[in-house]
Amino acid sequence: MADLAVSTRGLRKTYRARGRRVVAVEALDLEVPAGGVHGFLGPNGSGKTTTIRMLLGLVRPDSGDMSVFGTPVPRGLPAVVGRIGAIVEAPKFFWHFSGRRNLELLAQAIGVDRHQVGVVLGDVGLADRADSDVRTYSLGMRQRLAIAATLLKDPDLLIFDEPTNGLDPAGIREVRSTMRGLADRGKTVLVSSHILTEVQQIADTLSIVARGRLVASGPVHELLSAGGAAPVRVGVADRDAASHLLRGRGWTVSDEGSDLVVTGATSLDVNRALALAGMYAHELRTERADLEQVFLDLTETEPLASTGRRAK
Amino acid sequence: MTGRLARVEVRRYLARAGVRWLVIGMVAAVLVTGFAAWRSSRPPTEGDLAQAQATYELQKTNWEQFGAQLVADCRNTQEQARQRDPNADLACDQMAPTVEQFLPHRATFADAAQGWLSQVATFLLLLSLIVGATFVAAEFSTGAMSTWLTFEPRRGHVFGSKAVVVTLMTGIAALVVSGLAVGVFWAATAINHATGHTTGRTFTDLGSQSGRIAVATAGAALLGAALGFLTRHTAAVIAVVIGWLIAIDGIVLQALMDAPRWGAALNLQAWLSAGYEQTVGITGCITDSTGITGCNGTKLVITMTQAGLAIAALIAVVTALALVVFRRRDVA
Repeated sequence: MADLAVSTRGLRKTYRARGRRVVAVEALDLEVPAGGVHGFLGPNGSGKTTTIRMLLGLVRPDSGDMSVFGTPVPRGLPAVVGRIGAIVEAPKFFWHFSGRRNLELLAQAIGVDRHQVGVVLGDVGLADRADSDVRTYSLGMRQRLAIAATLLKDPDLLIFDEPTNGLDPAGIREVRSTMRGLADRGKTVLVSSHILTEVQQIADTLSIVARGRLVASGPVHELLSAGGAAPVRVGVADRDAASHLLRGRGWTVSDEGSDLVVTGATSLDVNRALALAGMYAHELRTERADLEQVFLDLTETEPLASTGRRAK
Repeated sequence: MTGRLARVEVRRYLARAGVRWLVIGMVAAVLVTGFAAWRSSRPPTEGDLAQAQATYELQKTNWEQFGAQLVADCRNTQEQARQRDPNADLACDQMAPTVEQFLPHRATFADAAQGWLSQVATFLLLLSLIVGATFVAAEFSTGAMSTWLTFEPRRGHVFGSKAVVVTLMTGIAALVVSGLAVGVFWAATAINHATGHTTGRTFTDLGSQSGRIAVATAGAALLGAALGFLTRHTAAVIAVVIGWLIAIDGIVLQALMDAPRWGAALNLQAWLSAGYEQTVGITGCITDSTGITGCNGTKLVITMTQAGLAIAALIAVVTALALVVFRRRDVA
C-alpha cells in the first residue's frame, strides 16, 4: 500500500440540531495517498467540511480513528501540525489587521522567520496590498492570503476546503494552478469541493462522499472508466428509421431534441450499422463520461451542483 | 511555544482597536474625574461668599436670641449621654454659626483623592471586563480562532497565553492609569491651592488603593476573557455579568442570607476599600430612663483578605470551567 497522508477508519460525527441528532459523518474510511492532488467530492452537507475539521482537531469525532502521516490525530496533532497547512471554508483573519500583520502573528506563533512572510505574500501576488487591512480585501484576496498563510510552514499536506468559493474565473484558475503546482512539488493536496469540474481538472485521486458516507474512491481515470460505455449522440435525417434500426441491434436509444442518444454501443458500431442501412449521420459524437455521471451512477442521488455542464 | 504564543498575544493585544478604546476610555474617565476634582476644590466665588454672609447674618440673629438656650440644652443632653458613654461629645461649644459653615464644601486632595480614585476604578473595571471579553469573543465571531488552532492545536496553550496576556496587560494599564489619575487629581487641586494636609500616609494609601484597583481590573479582564471563551460573544458576557449581579447578588443571596457576605459586588467593594463593615440587622433596642433608645445590630465585617479570596475563588472557578469547555467544545 502506498504511503498515506491521511487515513480515517470508522469516523462518525453527529450534531444536535433542533432537539434531535443529525449524522454528519458516518463510518467514513478515507485514504489520501501521499503526493498529488486528492479530490474530496460531495454535495453540500455531505460531511466534507466536518471531516476536515475533525482532522484538524477543531471538531471532536464521536468515534473512529484518524491519522495524518501515520500519526494519530487529534491526540498527536501537535507533532504533525507543522506539516499541515489548511484553509477551512472561508478564510478567517483578524479583520482590522493588515494581511502582513496577520501573517506575522502566525509566523511568530510557529517560529517562522518574519522574512518568510514577505516571500509567501509575493508568491500569492499580494505584496502590493500586504499593508492594507484585511477588511478591505476582496474574497479572492482573502483566499490568496489564506493560501499564503498555509505556505508559511512549507507544509507537506495542504488541505483546501472549497477553495474557489466566491472567486472570479481568473481567481479560480489561479487557485487551481497553485494547487497543481504544489502537488507537482511533491506536496499532498487534499481539496474538498462540491464542484465537479474543479475536482476533475486537477485531482489525481478522488473520494466521493454522500450523506456522510464514502461511496467511491480511487484514481480519477479509474472512476471515470467505471462509469461504463459512454453514450453516443447521433444526428440523422430519418430519426424514426434510425431509431428503429438501432433498437433492433439491442442498444438503448433515446430522443434528445433533434438527436438520438445511443447507449450500449461505440460510435464505430453505430456508424457501421447506419451505413449498412444506407443512412448517413450528419453528427456522430461520443459523449465524454464525467464525474457527475459517475457520481449519479454510484449514488443514485440528486445531481450535484456543478459549474460545468451535464452531458447532453 | 507558550512564550512565543504569549508574545504573539501581546502584539495582538496592543494592536487591537478595542484596547485603544480601553485606554481612551480610561484616560477620559480620569480627565472627567479630574475636572470634577478641580470644580469641587475651587475657592468660593464672590457670589458664594455673599450668600454665605447673608445666611450667616440671619443665623446670627437667631443665635443671639436662642443660642444660650440651645447650648444649655445641648450640655444637658451631653450629660445624659455620658451616663452611657463617658466619651460622648456633642460639640456644644461649637454651635455658634460661622460664615464658613454656609460656604459650599471645598474638597482637598488629602481628603477626597481616594474617593475620586474609587470613581475612576468603576470605569476601569467595566472597561477591563469588556476588553477581556472582546479579546477572546472577537476571535470566535470572526472565525480567526479556527485559523489560530490550525497553527497551534494545543488548546490549553492557546487558552493560557490569552488569559495571561489579557490579565497582565490590563492590570498594568490600570496601574498606570491609576498613577495618572493621582497626578491629575493633585494638579487639579493644586491649581486651586486645595491639596490639603498631605502626608506620606496620604500617598501610601493612594498607592495601596491603586494596587488593589490594578489587581481587581486584571481580575475583571480575566473574568471577561473566561466568559468570552464560554459564551463566545461580548454582548453575552455583559449580559451574564449583569444577570449575575441582579439575580444572584441582588435576589438569591439577599433572600437566602441576612448578611449576604458572599455577594460578588460586596466583596469587590470590600477589596477596593481595603475592608467593609456595616450594621446589617437590628438584634434588639433598649430605652433608658431618659427616654433615649439605643439599638444593637449585627455587624457584617469583610476584611480585604477575605474579599480578595472570595473574588479570586469566583474568578478561578469561572476560568477553570472556561478552560474545560474550550478544550472539549467544537470550534466552528
